[in-house]
Amino acid sequence: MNVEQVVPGDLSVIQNDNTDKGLRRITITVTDPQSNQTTLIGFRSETGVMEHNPEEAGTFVTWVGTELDVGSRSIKFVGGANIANHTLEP
Amino acid sequence: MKKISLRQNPCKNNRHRRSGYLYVSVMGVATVVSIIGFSAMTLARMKLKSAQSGNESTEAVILSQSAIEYAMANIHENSSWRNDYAGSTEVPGTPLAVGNGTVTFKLVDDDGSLSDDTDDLATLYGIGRVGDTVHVQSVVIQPSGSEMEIVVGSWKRTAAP
Repeated sequence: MNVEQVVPGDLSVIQNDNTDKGLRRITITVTDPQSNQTTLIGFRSETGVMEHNPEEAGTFVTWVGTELDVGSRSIKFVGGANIANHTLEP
Repeated sequence: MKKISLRQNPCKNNRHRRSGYLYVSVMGVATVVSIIGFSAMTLARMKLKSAQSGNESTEAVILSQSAIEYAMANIHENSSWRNDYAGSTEVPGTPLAVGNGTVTFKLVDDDGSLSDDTDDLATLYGIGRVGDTVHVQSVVIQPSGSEMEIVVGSWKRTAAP
């Protein structure tokens, strides 16, 4: 995983000084057992959707998923999704 | 007129008949093998396409959220953003290449003019594209002092604006 400070107006500029513009480029590379590499790149901002303090304390659900046991050999099927609009745990 | 009798050469006729059966059998087996092979190839191709589609969809989701983050950082840095990003068009004009896809955002004011009132709320659409897959997320942003902030609870996945 690689986290870099970048300039909002020009994402090719990587900042190494203290003039933080509040934007990060996060690069995650995963290598599978067959040595195939998968890379995903995302951005996070200090004013972005993940930086909100909730108005009240609570336990929030950020992900829902299913796990199914199929057949007598208990073959597992797992799936899920991130919830965009975080909701209070019921 | 010459009379042709089947009894004339029974060995030869049997040999022809056996050859015919063999031919039909070989053709039948070859057809079945071909069908099995073609089905396996089609199934493999469908699985590959499904996996690729899943990967594209996952990356498009990440890029659409990244588009919102990118837009918020730009709005934070650019004091004339209401003029620069007016017109309900996707920004930047040339989509920003990120990973295997692109990122753009769009700002829409309900009254149609982003620049007419600095107190107006705006809807920010983050758009991620990977291949043929398009994913859009949106938030409502509101003034907070001299800055803009995301309205809590407004974050959602949505259709393209």
